[in-house]
Amino acid sequence: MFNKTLSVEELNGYIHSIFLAEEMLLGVTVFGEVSGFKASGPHAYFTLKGANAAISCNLFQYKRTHVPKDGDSILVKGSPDYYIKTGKLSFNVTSVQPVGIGQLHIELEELKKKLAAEGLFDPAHKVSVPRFPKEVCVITSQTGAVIRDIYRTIRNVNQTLNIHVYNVRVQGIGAEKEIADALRKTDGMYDVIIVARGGGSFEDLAPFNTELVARAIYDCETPVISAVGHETDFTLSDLAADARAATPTAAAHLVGYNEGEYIASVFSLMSNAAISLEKILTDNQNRFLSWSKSFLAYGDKLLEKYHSRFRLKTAAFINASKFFLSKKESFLDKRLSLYAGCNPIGYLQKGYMGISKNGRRVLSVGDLAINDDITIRAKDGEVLAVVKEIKYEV
Amino acid sequence: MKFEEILDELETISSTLERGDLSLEEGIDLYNKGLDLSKQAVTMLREGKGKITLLSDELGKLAENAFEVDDND
Repeated sequence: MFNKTLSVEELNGYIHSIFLAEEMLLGVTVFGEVSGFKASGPHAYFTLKGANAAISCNLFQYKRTHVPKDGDSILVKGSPDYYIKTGKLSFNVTSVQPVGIGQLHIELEELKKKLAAEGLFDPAHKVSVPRFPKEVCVITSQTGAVIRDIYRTIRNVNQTLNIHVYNVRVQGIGAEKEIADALRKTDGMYDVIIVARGGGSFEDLAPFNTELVARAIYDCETPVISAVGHETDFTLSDLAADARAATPTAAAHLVGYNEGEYIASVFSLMSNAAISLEKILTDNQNRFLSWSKSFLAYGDKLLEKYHSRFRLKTAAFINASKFFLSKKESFLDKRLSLYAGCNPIGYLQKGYMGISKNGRRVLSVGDLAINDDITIRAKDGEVLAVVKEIKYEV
Repeated sequence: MKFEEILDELETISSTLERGDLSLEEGIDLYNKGLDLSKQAVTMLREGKGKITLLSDELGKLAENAFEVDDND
């Protein structure tokens, strides 16, 4: 016990030194709940509460460590510190660590960041889910509502696509390994794979938040739909999958289609093809028509050219013929008149008479003898006579 | 060939025809190919039985077993 009266400074200084000297209290870890968290500049202050106790905490340069919020259960590491100026005891926190669910969430966030950095959630890596799958694989528990919901939802619209169920445990220790194995085994065998699980607590969904499952989904070449939990649950499998369905039923809606839809798509494409083909046909026809038009026009021109030449030629020929004929005609006329002049009938007409003996013309008196029978031809008849006398001209 | 692949092929055929830079013979050939594919698709669709099976891993190979969905509430 001190004998003298102490100043406040002396008292507080002494208390301060006691805390500094107590090695048991240096660098201790304390568990408690955060209350009254308040940041001020680079530092933060809060109260760490136990069930029946509380202590003020100083968190200097608070951003260096995990930043808690009110209500969080945390582990703080640090040392108690007695502040001389105010005489208040507080706990100087050097690091904060979340515990329980909080811790799991933190770890999940970190894993998510790591996988995202690796490109596991990269949209460029995703493939589109087929609109008309024929073989659908569902990786889920074979018992329970999930497979029944998926089956019913698909069969409501589609009676022909095949559903293949791969039974796995969807929660509990080791479930993630079963799911990842199933993904590897079914990859490449079906048109689409659905990884499904119904709603559950954060811990129930844990297998779908593992690196193992996320990587197995990422590695699948077959399109994978992740349908885990409810609308509000987002798992790593959702992020790694090619498509996320809010619920297993939603996944069934994604893959189920009415067969008529498919046939309609086929018909619509074929009718487009038919229209295009018809256009090609028309184009060809038009090309042929315009070609034949120009060909005919060319033919006409050619014909016209020859025609006019032909006309000229024929005209010339006709003229020549006419000329020739006219010449021939006059020549003929002349000849004919000449011939006409030679006709003995002409002489008879003029009053001359012709004498013949035994059918032969008598040209000289020497042809005749006394008592020869002769025929005298006149213009109006014949005379039969006998030669009585012959006189020669000297 | 899968439904999806047939549809893709038909899409290619349709758009190739639409471009229109084909001869008539090529166009008709392509259209006939499309016709065959669509017949194939419709046949495949009709052949689908709509089964549901339970897969099991038998020595590294997937086996299909009968599976009944409990469809009662």
